Amino acid sequence: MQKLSLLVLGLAGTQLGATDCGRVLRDPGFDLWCGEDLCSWKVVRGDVARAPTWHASDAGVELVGEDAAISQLAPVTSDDGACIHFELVANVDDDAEVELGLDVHGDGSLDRRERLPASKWKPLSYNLAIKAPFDGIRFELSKRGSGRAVLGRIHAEIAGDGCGGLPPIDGGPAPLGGRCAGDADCASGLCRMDPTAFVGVKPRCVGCDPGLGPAACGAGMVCGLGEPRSPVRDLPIECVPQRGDELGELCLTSGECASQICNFFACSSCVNACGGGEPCEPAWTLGPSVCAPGEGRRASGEPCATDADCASGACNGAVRRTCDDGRPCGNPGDCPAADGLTPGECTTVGVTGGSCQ
Amino acid sequence: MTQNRVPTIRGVACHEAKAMRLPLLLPILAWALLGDAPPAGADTPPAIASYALVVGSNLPGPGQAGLRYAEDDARRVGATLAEIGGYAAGAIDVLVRPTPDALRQRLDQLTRRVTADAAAGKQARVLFYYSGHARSTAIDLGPAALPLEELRQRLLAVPATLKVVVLDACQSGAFSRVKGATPAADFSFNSRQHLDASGVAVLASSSGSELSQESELLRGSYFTHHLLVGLRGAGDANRDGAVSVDEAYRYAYHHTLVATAVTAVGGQHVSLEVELKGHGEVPLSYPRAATSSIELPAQLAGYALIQDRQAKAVVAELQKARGAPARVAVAPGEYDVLVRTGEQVARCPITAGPGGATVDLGRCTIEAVAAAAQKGAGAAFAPRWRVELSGALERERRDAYRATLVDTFDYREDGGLTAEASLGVLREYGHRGLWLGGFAAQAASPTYIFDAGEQPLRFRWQTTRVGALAQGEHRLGHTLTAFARGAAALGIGWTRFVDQGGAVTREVFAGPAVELGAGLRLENLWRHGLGMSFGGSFEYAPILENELGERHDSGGVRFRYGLSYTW
Repeated sequence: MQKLSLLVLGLAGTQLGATDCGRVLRDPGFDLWCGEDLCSWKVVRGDVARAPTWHASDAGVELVGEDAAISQLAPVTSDDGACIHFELVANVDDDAEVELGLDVHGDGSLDRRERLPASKWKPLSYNLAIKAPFDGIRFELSKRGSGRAVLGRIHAEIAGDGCGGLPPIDGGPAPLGGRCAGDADCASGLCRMDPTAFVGVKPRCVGCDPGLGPAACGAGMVCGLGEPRSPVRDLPIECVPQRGDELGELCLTSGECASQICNFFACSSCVNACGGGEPCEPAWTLGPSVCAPGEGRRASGEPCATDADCASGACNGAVRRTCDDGRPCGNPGDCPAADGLTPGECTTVGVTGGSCQ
Repeated sequence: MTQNRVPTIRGVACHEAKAMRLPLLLPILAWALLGDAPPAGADTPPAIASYALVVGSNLPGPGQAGLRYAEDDARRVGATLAEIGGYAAGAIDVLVRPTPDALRQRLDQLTRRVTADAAAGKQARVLFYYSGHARSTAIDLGPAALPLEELRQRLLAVPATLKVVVLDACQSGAFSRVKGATPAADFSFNSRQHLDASGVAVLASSSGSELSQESELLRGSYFTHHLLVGLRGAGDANRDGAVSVDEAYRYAYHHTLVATAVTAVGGQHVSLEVELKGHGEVPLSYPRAATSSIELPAQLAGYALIQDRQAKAVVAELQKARGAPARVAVAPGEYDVLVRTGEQVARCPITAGPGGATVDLGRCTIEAVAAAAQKGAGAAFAPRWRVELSGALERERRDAYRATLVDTFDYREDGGLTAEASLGVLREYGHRGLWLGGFAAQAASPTYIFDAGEQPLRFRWQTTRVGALAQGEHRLGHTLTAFARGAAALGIGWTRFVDQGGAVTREVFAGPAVELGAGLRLENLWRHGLGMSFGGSFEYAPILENELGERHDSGGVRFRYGLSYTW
């Protein structure tokens, strides 16, 4: 029961909004640099460079080139609020066309563009109303033209009020994993309760109805957990290949797993018990259930999740890295914010589809 | 039989003066009640009961300026009497800054003591000394006054055989006029067993219409200073080891008049009125009985000045003639004896211990007159010095620099107040209340923090100003002085920026700084020279500059509080 609770909490955590005392953007001063790149902002086009603002050491970011853009996906949700106060301090030449773009849901399409006027380190501010529900907003700052544009501060926070009378920005139907109130909110046309989270969570947009069983998808497919699309949304529920998931991958039903065993939302090699009195337990938190994990009893060729499971000390398979909520990741940017706006950790936990050497 | 032994000097315009404080000083009120004769010879203290009530008050009366040295004069008189006046321990009552009621109580107390002595068949002599403000009808003890007529009646009521009243106050000669004393008879003492003279002698620092004056150089009034010098032995004309009322008067009269003749107010004429019966001189001091003294050898000639080396105060000054030694009673200690002859000054260090000491001419160093004068021997004006420590708390001035920091780039102030400390040293120039000097001030801003997320950005600065300071002062009362000041300085600013990675960036700036201010100073609060000031100032110090070319005036309006010591 405890294991189930952990899983539920872990997955449910992804459905909570993430702000830092109301602030929704990380590194508002463009001060976090990882070498010559911004740590928290993604360069979409062109190039960026460090530039002094009021003080040489309080650096801002200069958008370099005729066409340059940076963006950041803010993990704010409509649960946090639907009115966002946005402030920007910039030094923008007359012949630089600087725009602030908003991509509600972070699905890649800009839903609003605001042209920033030329200014000499003067604060600009906007109140933006966002149509609920939504999960995540991607802010994009772009520059076109030969003029110089240096951004010194960007500040976005949830505003309790101040958006009265403003037409809400409609991000369109939500993608898979996004929150919804009805089928019309979803691009898939399906809004269903998320079977991975039972308590206190809202319905999610899904690609298939898991309640329909085998009839939800076509031949050779099952309604299960797909690959994560965004750190600010839940894992998508969609039609996935039957028996296509290896040992250690997340699953919704046993039909997704090559082992035909989906135990505690992970493709496993056992369910309750193993032969010879060996225990059947998860190899890591939110991981696959295997026999006698970490005891080095598995013989060559037997399924395993970590090297410690094998008598040989080597478990061959693809390295498995996961976020705290169990979803696979390649780097911390793939993980939901764990505390405030700081990305969660992406940790190596074992292997998928492993067999002992 | 009464007889006017010394001519009374009345109606002469009062002396010298410090132009700035006109009602100035009230010199001495000396009212001596002559009682018994000295017991065992003129140079030894009498065995009769002797009492002294010594009063000093710097407090001004209505429309008067505060005095600086009246209370110090009283203390010096008390000390001199204790040393060489022939008074028993506990018989000298020094009363500083009393109210009229407090003075009445002490006079009553004195009357009771003398009455008890009289009941026991013991004669008594009483000396009353007052230094402070006075008018022709009253002595001023701050806002309240004690009428001269009442003072006279109370002193007359003291049943002492001999009473001496010394008044160091403006128009103190009026005391005799109020008293209505007639010229005293000739008197002399010829008995060592009891007082042969009886009655009253009044020694006043100025005539009934004159002003009495203080001297910055002497750090006391002219009259009391010369009176004390005379009592220490310089006034012992007949060299009998005791200084009589007559001798003290003659010495004080001559030297006070000479010293004040060159002042702005003009010559100050000491007056003496006596109403005495009997015969014999009335000694006021017994310098030969002093525990220590300085003797100027017979071969020494010139204008001699004895200066306390530690206190930098003139103890005595006299015209020494060749041929006979001169002896001045002093407290044990280190002294410099300066003797001027022509264009040279001989500086002779001497240690006066028990039994006294004689100036050793072989140890004297010869200096030019100018050099000696710079050391205070002959300067007409002794400038005062002041060191002042002040502090201020203020909000940083809101200008473009700070607006960029706080409003544009979203830094918040941690604490919100800038603290400043300033140390200044000033020297007084002339008597017009002008002080010039230098100062150094250090101010530290609050820390400005930008909450950037994981680690905040931190920024703060310090400024140092070093420059010249000019201050004008106007005395409003005894302890209260108003001042206005202006300063110009070079300002240096240091900024410190800490980024999210903890890296520190420091920058240095420089710029001009000016200041205008005004305030009030309370002086001589806990002890002489200590003062406390408060006021406001406006400072303009555009020292810091940011990358946008905006300069920060790290000044603004400041409220200052300070402590000072003046010497």
